[in-house]
Amino acid sequence: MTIRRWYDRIIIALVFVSFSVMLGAALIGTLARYLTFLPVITWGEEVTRFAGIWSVFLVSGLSIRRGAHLGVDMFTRLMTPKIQRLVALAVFLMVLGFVLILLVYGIVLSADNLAQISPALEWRMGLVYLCIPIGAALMSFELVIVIIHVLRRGMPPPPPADASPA
Amino acid sequence: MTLILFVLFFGLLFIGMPVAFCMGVASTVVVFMMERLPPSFIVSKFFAGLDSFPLMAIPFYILAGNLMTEGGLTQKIVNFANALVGHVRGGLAHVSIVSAAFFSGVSGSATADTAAIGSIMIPSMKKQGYAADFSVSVVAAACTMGPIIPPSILFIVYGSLVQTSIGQLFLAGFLPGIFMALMLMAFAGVTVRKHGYGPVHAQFSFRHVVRTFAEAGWAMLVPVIIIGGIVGGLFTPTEAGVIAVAYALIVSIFILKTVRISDLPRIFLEAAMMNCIVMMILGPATVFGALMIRDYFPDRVMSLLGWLTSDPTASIFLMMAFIIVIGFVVDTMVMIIMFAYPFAQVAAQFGYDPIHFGVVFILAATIGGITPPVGSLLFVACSIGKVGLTEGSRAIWPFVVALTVVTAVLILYPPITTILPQLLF
Repeated sequence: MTIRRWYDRIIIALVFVSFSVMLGAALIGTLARYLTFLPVITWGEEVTRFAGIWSVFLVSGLSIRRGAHLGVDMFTRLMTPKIQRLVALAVFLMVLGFVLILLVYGIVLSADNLAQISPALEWRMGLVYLCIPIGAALMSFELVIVIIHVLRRGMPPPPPADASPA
Repeated sequence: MTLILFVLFFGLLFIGMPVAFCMGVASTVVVFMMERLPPSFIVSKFFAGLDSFPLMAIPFYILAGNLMTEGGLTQKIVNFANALVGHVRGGLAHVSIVSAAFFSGVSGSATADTAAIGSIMIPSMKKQGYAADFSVSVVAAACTMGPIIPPSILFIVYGSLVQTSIGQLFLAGFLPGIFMALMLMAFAGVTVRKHGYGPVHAQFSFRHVVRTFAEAGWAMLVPVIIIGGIVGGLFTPTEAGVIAVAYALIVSIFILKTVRISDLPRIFLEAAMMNCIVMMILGPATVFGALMIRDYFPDRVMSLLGWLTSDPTASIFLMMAFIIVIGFVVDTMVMIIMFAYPFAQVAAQFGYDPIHFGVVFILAATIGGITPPVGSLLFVACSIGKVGLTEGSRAIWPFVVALTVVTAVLILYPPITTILPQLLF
């Protein structure tokens, strides 16, 4: 369990950093236009966008664990528990399949664009695109845990109380 | 191809798959079926869909709203609304509507509005003897103002999907938002009279209004900064969002001292997660949308409408009726992502003002958030009120009618939406 705890801490820290960088870059970019003593920056928008997208993918695994992505239970509620369990399993397996496609082709996209350079920061776009396979890996990890839980207990796990940082 | 996309999407949705993944899985199946599209199309469109500076306004408005709630400003807004309309018969219902209108000016998300206003107003209405279904419905209906009164995440999404000015959409939503508040109060008044709910306090006191306004003042300044900054040409909507966050941070940490710096990691994580939910829908939606456009979906809608009617206003009415009816089983965001671009194309061909159409479209789509059996605002309100969806949705119908009337009036009288952007831009 301690490994899991460290994993959570690292992810939460990375989300905090990327979210703060997004805020900071947008704020500096905005203020620099009006406060003339600040140096004019050209990279504000680009850092905001890249950090914003990274924060989305970094937090994507945790959002799956928390059950943040809601579905419609209008029809599944009418099914018998056994069918509910099978349907839930099918849904999670299909989501896992999609996430694995993101993982594989995310790596392909990164590799294909390693030479391409972003306009303002002159960063390698391949490295920026790495957020997709990283996020996909985090999501598939959480999905596998959910699927194991469905197989053993018959239901997806309830959102854990300790998902929020201490 | 569009048909396969839709069938897959709704099939997956109704077996309980989260919306974000329904879009992704449906598009992936179609991409793999089509020989000429490489699978990396999915990933690159996903990224391209999120890689936009205007969209980054979404996390900012989420965070600004969360900080205001954490800082205890929701209660102060409610107190001010109470001083304004608490003396009216059925006071608490009107207080809910007025506070939702003010809170909409601070927050960008209707779901966040429902959670914030609902958690204060629904328990107090129930305590005062209001029927649970009515309490839940008033709050859910009132929070449909959230996406219309600026700032608004849905306007940001719409503006970036359809390539219209988000700033102008913000301004255009202002008067329709006030109109919605008045209509909702009128319709709530009828139910209130029937049940004989009393006022909160006996008399209107101007001194009380001034005092509560002063206390809520820190929150009231947020819309002034956002709208003022955008109208004055100082900021883009995204920049106004980050200024609102900076303002909310300073007010809640240093002036009101209701948020500690050590709370920030938790608040940021929650905002990042709410943002992730929206973005994880928008990313795959870009793939989905690109596939629909490759299949000439907008042209098909156009020719279908042309077959039904040749009158522009009638076709706008038909499109909005379609959105409102589909809204019973589909939630707001899904409809915007599926139909905003094709419908806006059609409206443009009829010579409709894109800003006017945008406001009408978002309003019609937002009604989908309160129509059972699928409506996110109603879900949130019901879970706060601890009532089942079937019970909770019994009292929603008068409000659905009220908002449908508002939509019709907005279509017929464009000046309500277009006058502010025309005057100020």
